[in-house]
Amino acid sequence: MADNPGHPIRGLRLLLILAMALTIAGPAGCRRTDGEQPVRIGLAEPPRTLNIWLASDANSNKVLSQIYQPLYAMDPETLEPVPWLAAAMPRHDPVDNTYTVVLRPARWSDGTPLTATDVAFTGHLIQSFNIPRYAAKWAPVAEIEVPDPQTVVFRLKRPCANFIDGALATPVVPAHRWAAAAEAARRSEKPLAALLNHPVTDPVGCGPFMLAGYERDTYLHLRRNPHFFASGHTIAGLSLGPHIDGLLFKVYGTSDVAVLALKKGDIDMFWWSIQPGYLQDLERMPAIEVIASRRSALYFMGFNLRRPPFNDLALRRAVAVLIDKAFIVERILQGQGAPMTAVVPAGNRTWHNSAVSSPGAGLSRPQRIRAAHRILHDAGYRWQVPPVDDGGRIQAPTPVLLPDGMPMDRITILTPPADYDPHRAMSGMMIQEWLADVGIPATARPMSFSALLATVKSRHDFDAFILGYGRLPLDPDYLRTFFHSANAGPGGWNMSGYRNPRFDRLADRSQREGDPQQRRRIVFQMQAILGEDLPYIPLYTPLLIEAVRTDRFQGWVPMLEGIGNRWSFCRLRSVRADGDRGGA
Amino acid sequence: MDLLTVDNLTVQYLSRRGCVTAVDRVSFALPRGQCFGLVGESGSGKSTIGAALMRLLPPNGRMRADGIVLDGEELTRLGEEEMRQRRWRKVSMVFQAAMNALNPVKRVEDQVMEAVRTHLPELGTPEAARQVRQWFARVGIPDNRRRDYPHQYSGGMRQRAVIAMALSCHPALVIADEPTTALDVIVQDQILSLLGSLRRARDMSILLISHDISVVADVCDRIGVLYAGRMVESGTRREVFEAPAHPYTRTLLAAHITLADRRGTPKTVSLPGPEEPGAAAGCCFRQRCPACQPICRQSPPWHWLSRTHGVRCHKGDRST
Amino acid sequence: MPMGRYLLGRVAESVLVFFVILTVFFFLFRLAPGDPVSRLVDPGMTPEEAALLTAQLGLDQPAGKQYLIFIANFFRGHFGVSFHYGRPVAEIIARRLPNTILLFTSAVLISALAGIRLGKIAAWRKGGRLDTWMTIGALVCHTLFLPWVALLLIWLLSFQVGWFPITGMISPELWIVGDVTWLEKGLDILHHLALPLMTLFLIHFGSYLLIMRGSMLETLNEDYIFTARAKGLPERVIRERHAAPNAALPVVTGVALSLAFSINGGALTETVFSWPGIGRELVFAVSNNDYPLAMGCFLLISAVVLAANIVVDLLYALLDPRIRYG
Repeated sequence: MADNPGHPIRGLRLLLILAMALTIAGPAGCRRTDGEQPVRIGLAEPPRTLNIWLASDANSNKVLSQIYQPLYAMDPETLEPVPWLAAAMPRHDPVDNTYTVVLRPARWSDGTPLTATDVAFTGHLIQSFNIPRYAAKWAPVAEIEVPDPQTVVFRLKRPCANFIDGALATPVVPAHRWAAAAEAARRSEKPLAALLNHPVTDPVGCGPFMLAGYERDTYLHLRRNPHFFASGHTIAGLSLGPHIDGLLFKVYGTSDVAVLALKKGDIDMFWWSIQPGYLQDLERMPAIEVIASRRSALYFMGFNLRRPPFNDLALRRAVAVLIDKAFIVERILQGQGAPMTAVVPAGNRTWHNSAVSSPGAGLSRPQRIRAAHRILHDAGYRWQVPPVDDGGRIQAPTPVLLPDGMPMDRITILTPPADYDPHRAMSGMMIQEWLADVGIPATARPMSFSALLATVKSRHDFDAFILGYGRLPLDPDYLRTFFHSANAGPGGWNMSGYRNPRFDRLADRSQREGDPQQRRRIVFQMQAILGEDLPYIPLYTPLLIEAVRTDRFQGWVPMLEGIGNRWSFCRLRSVRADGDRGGA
Repeated sequence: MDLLTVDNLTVQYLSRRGCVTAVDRVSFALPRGQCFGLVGESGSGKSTIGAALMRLLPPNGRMRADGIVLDGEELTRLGEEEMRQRRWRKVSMVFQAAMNALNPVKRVEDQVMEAVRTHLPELGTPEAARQVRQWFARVGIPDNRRRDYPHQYSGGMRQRAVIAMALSCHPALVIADEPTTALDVIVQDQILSLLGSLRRARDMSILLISHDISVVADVCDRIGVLYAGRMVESGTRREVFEAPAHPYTRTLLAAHITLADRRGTPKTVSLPGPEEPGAAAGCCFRQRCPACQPICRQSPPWHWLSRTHGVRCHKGDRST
Repeated sequence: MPMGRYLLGRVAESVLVFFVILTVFFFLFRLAPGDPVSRLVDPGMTPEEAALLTAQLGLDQPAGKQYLIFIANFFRGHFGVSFHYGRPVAEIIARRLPNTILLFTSAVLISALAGIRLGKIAAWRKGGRLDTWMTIGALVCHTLFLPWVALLLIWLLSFQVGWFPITGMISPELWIVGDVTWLEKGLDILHHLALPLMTLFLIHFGSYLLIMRGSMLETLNEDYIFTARAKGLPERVIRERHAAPNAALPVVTGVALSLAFSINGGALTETVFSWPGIGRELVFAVSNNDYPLAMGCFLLISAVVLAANIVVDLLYALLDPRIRYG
């Protein structure tokens, strides 16, 4: 044919030229800043808002916690509150139930001084708008007085055990930046919605960093706040900087890519937990350090106590004995976690009751089956062929018969889907198999997270479920939230429908008890009761695995919930600080 | 002097089942200015001969010939590019099924113009345009319809446009392959007389390919009858019509005469279908021949009955 | 001219369909399980707080009333405020749409242009070695799993060879410097665009190639191609002016629809390449019960696709005189 054989290539030539041009354009993209050397942090998703009151996603809070600061922060070692914006621990007057807080001299990042008025404004804002997540913490506060610009006095309606951990750990916002927005919101038809939707493009706080740039959902740049109050101070035994120019948050949609970026040196830290699969590879790299931290997390199996069969304590106990938590941690979590005993995680040293133990801990599988069989048999459950024969040998049982002689309906264990959390979905399937060992017919059913929550929290139409709280607060007030009978209605957080008047009384007392030692005893008692009644079976607390590069910055502070904490960012130092500064 | 001589043209199609001979050693000559009619039923290889003369067989087609001489030039020895330049300039075609012979997304005038600009570039655009306009006028397409698209034309107009296109580069030979099929009778006559008058006016030769012996009878000076890829009889119109020598020719003529008033369906005459061309040795027509004899198992030779009249039949010499 | 009336009819029909889609989506979202409020806050929230928030988001009203309010706001040009961003939906979409168009629309365009071109050549040389390789290549690429290809390319070309940045749309290190010119920023975006574009191209060009090849093969059997050959036209003219325009007709309309659909981006691609487009936003909005944002995204896509259908009809008429003058 007369056709030129080179022709088909011509069609692609344009593409090739384009690709070449883009490759050559590379060096421009690689141009590094000479002046600034921010710590580059990978995030899994972009922060969705800079409005602190709306910020419900983890990534917004990661950024905003560098900007807005509370009166009291958490000591990285003891996990006790330490004065942060406050100059000292509050002076508590038990007679008229007041807390007096004196502020450190501090300035907002725009240079204006922080005063007691800002603190009072923040409290009033939360209370008058009923801002979710904060209003409950401020509910006990009756009055906020400002005797002088450095002093705030809180008068409480009733004794409140977690006042410092709760209300006084709330980030303080500047009155001069928020007053107008609050006023406008108050006049609108839906005040709270208006406040939450107030656009914030230039947040002003008194934290170690301030916003320098935010572009196209792709990066967020924080620069060192020259007015940071703690610069050069020593708090909680740590001398604070920050010694770095700033933080640069970049977004990586998948862990695979973020790990590549970390290995390549495009980021100094990936602020997200790293899956066990990457560990071997990362641990081999000399410039990368892998850090495992304990978490304040609760992953559990919950029962519906409102209806059979799990309204029977004996059945719940038998299930608890059958569940081998160590197996779940070793095989499903690949060792990256710890079996959980009490509902308060072990990492929460102050409040965890280590006397509560897992039923059947340390038993082998046949021993568990025998123990469960004994519990069920004693409670009147029967089998045509029991799981354990007369000689004590394990055998395949027929389906279990309830004490009234009726066969047990197949029960469903709801779990989140495997793409949302493979561990919980796998655990559900494992438990299904273990229950079958004693003839309990169970099916683990993965369900979309929204649907799962709606089913167990609002409709209450379920037998059992596996859920988790990735970030429990340190204050154990959540015990009351999760298990007080007042919260058992539709939409309440007592999803199991657990009702125990003795527990309710303890929970109410724990909330009011001002003496920490006394409160600790009550909280321990509550955990012990839950360990007996088993509305939840705590399964495991995962470890938080994080990875950082050590060749540019060092000084990460390990802590419960990982190295991404305010202490780390105030302590990090450039490895080649002198050389870099000298050259600039 | 003949304009076209075809000597022992054989065309085979390669298929997965093997090799099929569509045209088997066909020879004929076409004197300058005359019209030669190739008649045969579908599958007889007549259209393949047209495509072979243009050297436009499908990719699986193979042709072989002792010679195809057009206007003194041996076509089989031309290179592909030289052959491309001869097409339309020396030998053009009027196609059957004129509906699809024209590109539906191009204006008719542009399609004619394209041929002229390709083969007569020396004319220049204005002169070419003028000639194209003339051609439309000659074939009787109104001036305001020149810029139409093919689908806006009636069947007859499309056939006229195809004729205009075929003649636009003044070829010496026009191969008209079923030029009137699918047209109604009145239009058929118009088209045939148009072709005839243009041929006389421009001293062209026409190779008319048709299944319809009556069409051939109207126009042609000479007639060749094809059966199963072989030329079974050829001669002047008078010789073939008045003294048909081959049994097949006689059957064709009989069918034509008895069904003359139902020409819309000419190929449905009572003839059974031809067998596979070249399937067996012997006379290709013997299984349908009313006068078959044992000798017909051998391949019949070509008998010249006169200088122009020949027949491929064992009884050829006796049948006149 | 009947074209005008036809067009008017099509537009009216599309508007009707749009509102049917709107209604279906509106109630579908509210029937779907899940509670937007519970996704907004953590367990610390009391039921009273949740009730207040539900009321503030307007979710305490019966669905029918919510629908009427939505419609009324829609006609006033208010498309709602995202629960999670606290920003108007239109603003969020407007911020992300250009990114999506930049990546996905250009990917469809380039894949289609290259696919049509290569498909044309493959058909022209049907059965030849080039055709065989191109067809096999197209089939293989077409069946590749996108995230796998994406990760492989990132690993190879970004991580190992270092030609392209490791995902993202810009290099923040460059952008935070004050004195960067717009040209440098533009080149930076192009540099980041290259790899995702390449990935999408690999995945998509094959289907266009195969469609065009098939269409072209069909066209090459047409009588008018034989006519063109008989006319002694050069092969290139036959292919480009006679075969290709006819063969491209069905392909081009398909491409136009793909272009319309390209604005919904692709959650997988955007996730792997950390590309801030609409696709991930849509998935996020749906899975987090952010009704206004999800509605906004879906309605935009519906509107564009409906409009594209009309455009395709017009385009077909423009390209095919049989329809234009039919």
